[in-house]
This record gives sequence, C-alpha cells and structure tokens, in this order.
Amino acid sequence: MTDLLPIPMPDAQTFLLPSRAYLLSMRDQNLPLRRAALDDAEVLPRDAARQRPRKADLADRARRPRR
Amino acid sequence: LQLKVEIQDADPGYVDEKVGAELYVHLRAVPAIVDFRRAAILRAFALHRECDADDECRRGALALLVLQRAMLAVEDLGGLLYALDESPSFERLISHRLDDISALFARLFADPTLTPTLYRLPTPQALADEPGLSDEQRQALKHLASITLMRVDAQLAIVRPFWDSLHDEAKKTMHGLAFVAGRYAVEPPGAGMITRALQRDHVRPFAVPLTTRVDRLGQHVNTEVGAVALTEADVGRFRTAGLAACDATEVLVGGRLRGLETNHAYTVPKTYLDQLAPAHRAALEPLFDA
Repeated sequence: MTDLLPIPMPDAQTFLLPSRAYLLSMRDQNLPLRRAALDDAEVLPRDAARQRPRKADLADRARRPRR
Repeated sequence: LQLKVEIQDADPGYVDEKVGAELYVHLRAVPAIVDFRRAAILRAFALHRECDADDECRRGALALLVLQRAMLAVEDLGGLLYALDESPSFERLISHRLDDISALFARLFADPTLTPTLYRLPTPQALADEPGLSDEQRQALKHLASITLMRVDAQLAIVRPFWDSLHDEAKKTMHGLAFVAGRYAVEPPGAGMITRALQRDHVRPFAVPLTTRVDRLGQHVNTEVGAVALTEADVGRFRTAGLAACDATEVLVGGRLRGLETNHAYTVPKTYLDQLAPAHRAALEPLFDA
C-alpha cells in the first residue's frame, strides 16, 4: 500500500472555516438574493409600466430665440 | 449598425449645440427609467418587509437587493450629473468611472453654484431680465426656484453619504457576490480569519463583503473584510436614498428636456408648486397652464 504524501490538512482558520462560511452564505444568502431578483424581474416591468405616464410639466423662463 | 435619429420635438440645432442628439434621446428615456427604478426599489423593500423575521440569511439577501436597486438609482443620477457638467455629454455618460461620480458629488457640496447650474434653475438676474412677467410672478418664480433648489439639495444630502459609504459594496451585489452572511461569521464555528478581522458585537443581520487583491510582487492574496449593516433601519435608509435619487433625477431631466424642447436656458419645475403661498401659486398658475 502506498503511503500518503506528508501533506498537512489546510489550516482551518485560514482556509476551511472561511470557505465553509462562504459556501453556507452562497446557499442561504447570496443565491436567495439572485432567486428573489429573478422571480421579481418577471413581475417588475409590468408593475413599472402600470405607473402613470409622465409629461413634462415645467414653466419656462428666460426664453432664447428659436433658430 | 447605425441608427438614424430624427428630432421632431425640439430644434435639432439647439439640441445638438447644447447636449447632442444621443444624450437628448437618452434624456427622453430617463423618466421611464426612473419609474422602473422606483418600482424596483419599492418592490424589493416590500419583499424585505414581508420576509420571515426569523430567517436571518434571507432577510440579509433581500436587504442587499434593496441596496443594489437603490444604488443603481443613485448611479443613474450621478452619471447624468457628470455627463451634463461638461461636453461632450454623451461620451461622458457612457465612459464615466465610479470615482468620477464621487468627485462630482463632492463638488456639488463644495461649490454652491454647481447644483443650480446643472439643474438650469434661473439666477435672480435671469428672472429680473425676463420680459412679460408681473412683479408678483417674478417674486413667485424666485420663491419656487429657491424651494426647488432647497429640495434638490436635501435629496443630494441623502444621496451622497449613501454613495460614498456603500457604492463598492453595492457593486459586489452585481458581480461575484463576495459576501459572507454575518450569521456564519459570528456563530460557531465561525469563519476563521474572517471572524477574527471583524469588530465584535455587530447588530444582526449584517453581511461581510470580501475585497480580495492580488499582490503580485509579494505573491500574496490579501482579503479585506468589512461589514454592511442590514437591519430594518438600514434598509429604510437604502430605500430613502434610492427614492431621493429618483426624485432628484426626475427634476433634473424634466427641466433639461423642457429647456431643450422649447429653447429655454432656464426652467422652473412645478414639482413643488404646492409649497408656495396661495397668492404666489395663483400668480403662477397661468404660466404653467399655458
């Protein structure tokens, strides 16, 4: 049987725990963020389009001659 | 691919001289974009508010979505202000960097003449020189312009600190999602060196943005660890800043478009007409009705 190479385990503080926390965060926070945004994107354009049409509603001063 | 643009609602020569046809076309689209941004912020805020209070990670996710959408509205405003500050406006609109927006926001607060100039609000002299106005109308327009400037300044005062403190973090919600949920940084077994770099006693929920830089000379990878507070109060502030940016953009673009389409150097929005004294309001109504 071949002996295992003498490679130590990665340092938990530097590699294992940060990676674990990041992967859990991807699962529970970051991917839900993307999923919520995608789900909402289906409805959002219709919602925005329903808003009242906007017209310029400004008074004008200091006229310049129209060329 | 080449697009031909025919300007029908304004004097093409005047538009070309002032901002160029490309920027004018963009300005015409901005009111619809603002509606979209506003709806997006409000929808994300509602999703966050309706989320299960015990689901800390999901609440954090939805808080980051509010942050992302609010910051996009602020970036739209900053980009437009930067573009309109100098020629060629359209090139500036499509090529600006985040630092350009930061510098522009800083200038708005260092130079009190810049905001009224960018918003094309009339100077007292311009109002005095304008023919065909009664004294009462002149006075009322002066008040309305002052109120508008005060409102815009207040909106910018909300927008700027939001931009300065969180625009890098908001970018991370768009690219790479380099965030650790605060929960996994503080609950056992923790996140190792990330946890050690954090200040203690963060109010939850919060997220830990990770900024990694490669030091090629030293052959190191350095990761900076920060914290973005995502409590209900923070999310309320994101919403407020995003909506303030929408309002400020609407006044900016409404005035610019109206000026371009009627060959006017200055415009006074009627957005805040209801805040004038009744007598002044009555004096101006014929102008706006016309």
